[in-house]
Amino acid sequence: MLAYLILGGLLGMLGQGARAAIGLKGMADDAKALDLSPNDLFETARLITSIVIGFLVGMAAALAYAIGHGAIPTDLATNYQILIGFIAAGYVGTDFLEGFIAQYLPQGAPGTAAQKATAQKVAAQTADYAVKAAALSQLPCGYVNHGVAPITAQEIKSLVLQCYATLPGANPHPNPKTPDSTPISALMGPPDPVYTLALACEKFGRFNTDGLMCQRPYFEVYGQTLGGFVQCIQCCYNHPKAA
Amino acid sequence: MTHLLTSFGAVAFLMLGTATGIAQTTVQGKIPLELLRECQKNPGFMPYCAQLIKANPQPAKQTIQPVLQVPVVKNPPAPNPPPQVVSLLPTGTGPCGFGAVNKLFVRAADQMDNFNYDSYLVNLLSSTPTTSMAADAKGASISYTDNVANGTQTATIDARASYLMFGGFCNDPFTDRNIPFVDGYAVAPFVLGNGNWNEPLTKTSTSAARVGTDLQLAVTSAMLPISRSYFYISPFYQTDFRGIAQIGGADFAWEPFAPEIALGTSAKGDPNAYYTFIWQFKAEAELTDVSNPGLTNLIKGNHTWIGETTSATLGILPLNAQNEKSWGDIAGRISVNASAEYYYDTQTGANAPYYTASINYKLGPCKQTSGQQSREIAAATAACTIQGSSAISFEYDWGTNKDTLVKTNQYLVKFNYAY
Repeated sequence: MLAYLILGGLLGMLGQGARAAIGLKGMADDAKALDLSPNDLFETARLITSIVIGFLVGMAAALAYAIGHGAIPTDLATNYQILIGFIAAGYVGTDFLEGFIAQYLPQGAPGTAAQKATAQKVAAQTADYAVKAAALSQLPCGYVNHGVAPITAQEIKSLVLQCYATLPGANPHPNPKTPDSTPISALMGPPDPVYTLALACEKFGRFNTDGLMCQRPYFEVYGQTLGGFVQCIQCCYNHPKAA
Repeated sequence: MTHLLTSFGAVAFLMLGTATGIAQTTVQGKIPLELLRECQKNPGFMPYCAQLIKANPQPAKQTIQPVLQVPVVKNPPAPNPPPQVVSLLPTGTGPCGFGAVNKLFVRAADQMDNFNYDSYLVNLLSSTPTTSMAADAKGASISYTDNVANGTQTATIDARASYLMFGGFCNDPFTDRNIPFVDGYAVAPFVLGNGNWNEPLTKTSTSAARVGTDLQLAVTSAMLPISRSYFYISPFYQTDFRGIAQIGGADFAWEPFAPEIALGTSAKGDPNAYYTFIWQFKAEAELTDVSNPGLTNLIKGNHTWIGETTSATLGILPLNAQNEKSWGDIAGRISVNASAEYYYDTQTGANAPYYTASINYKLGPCKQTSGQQSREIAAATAACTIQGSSAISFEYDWGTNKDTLVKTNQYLVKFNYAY
């Protein structure tokens, strides 16, 4: 009985493997159209999961056949129709199981019409966000004067904390190891903690002599933590203004 | 084969019914296939899509935010902006963004009561919103008395409600940081009520009711000693609580911000502070055309009010670890405020000085502590459980209100609410 079920499972895997081979071709076409490597689209865990499901479907098919006929077939070696049936079950049944799983688990693959509609809606939103993200990614961070000496992130952080310490109400002795995750809103009060600190830094020490200019939208988005704020200024130093 | 299919019965039928898209379920799954196809259909998306797929290790279906984490610039920090407010940011079509906001503010009928719409826009972008501006506002106050014995009713209103409709942030269009530029703007219609309503009508039934629109511009320049300024332009129509007065006009104001001198804003985080101090200054010019003074003491004709408002606020026992330990819930609640207004009408020579002093006790502190964060950080980052801010204040007012030219000399105990 066990050998019979394992045989069914292996044949189910074979069916699912054939299905995956066709899928790989489609994936390669998609990758080519996007000018990507197929590795960028390939998902190993998903493939293995599908093959395991194919194994289970093959076993289930073998079991159902045995129950339906009241006995394990003895002519497996010659009755190729039964073997092809198990392979077909693995080929087609995986889709059923994945669709069944998707129906009850949110992370499942799109199967039902409702799920496809949801997937399309998400895709439309994603495309919309993609446009916005593309615009967002083009935000300029700012600049410094042409020809200024390079500066490290640690130096920037030190200068930022020194600048902060000079302001009324600030901790006059901030910890140099203040975590990068510290929100700027914990250091500066309203109405605009991030840009207010940026403007104060523009006029502080080396930042002032280097002609630091911080673009507000970029800093408002990316400079909300101390670490992000430091990286924003680093970005400005990577974009020196033309002389 | 027939027997086999019969054994599967309905299961096999379902299998065939759902057998679609082999490629979709086998190797695709990092991002929706629809998006891939969208990328194919729109060549303009191609560079972005390529980066999206390489940068996004999770299915796009599960999270939208990683889509925004596409690193394009050098040394990009980890961005995590809420996608619904991306429109506040400039796009490739111009230096400024445009975002519909729709937010109601309720404050005192007071020029200095933090009508800073820009700060709300900032909080929309921030993943670590700063303390609500409402928590620092005086707030609106309304009282109503029905004297059954005398058959008189009295209502006193000091409130301004504005509705922030849209705003945005702007990039510097110049390559010279010394040239002033607009870095943000906001547009908000408002309704203002200030004065007394009496039934029956008495001599003290003076009031001002305004409707108008605030246009706020944030202007920055590294050249100026005060690098940050907010400008307000507010056209309005004014009447009184009975709709008799007919007054049109426009208000122009300038409010500077300089953290170096605690003007308009200040730093925080001093663990040993027993007090905080902040002061505000607002210069103002108001042009009015009084067609019918109604229930005000204004004179018919044109007026040009020029003046300023200066306000100072002393926070006693601010919220920090030391004060919380020593003073418990008292920390972060008490403040003393004083303000002085002076306006001069260049058309009639009238003066309108007005002075106010108050001590306030905040009822609904917006603070939380959590985990291993320091209390200050937790208080700054925690979402307010109470959206508005309420306070009890004891106030003394003396002077002449420029909107009504009514003289005042009064003590008040008020319950204020700001939203």
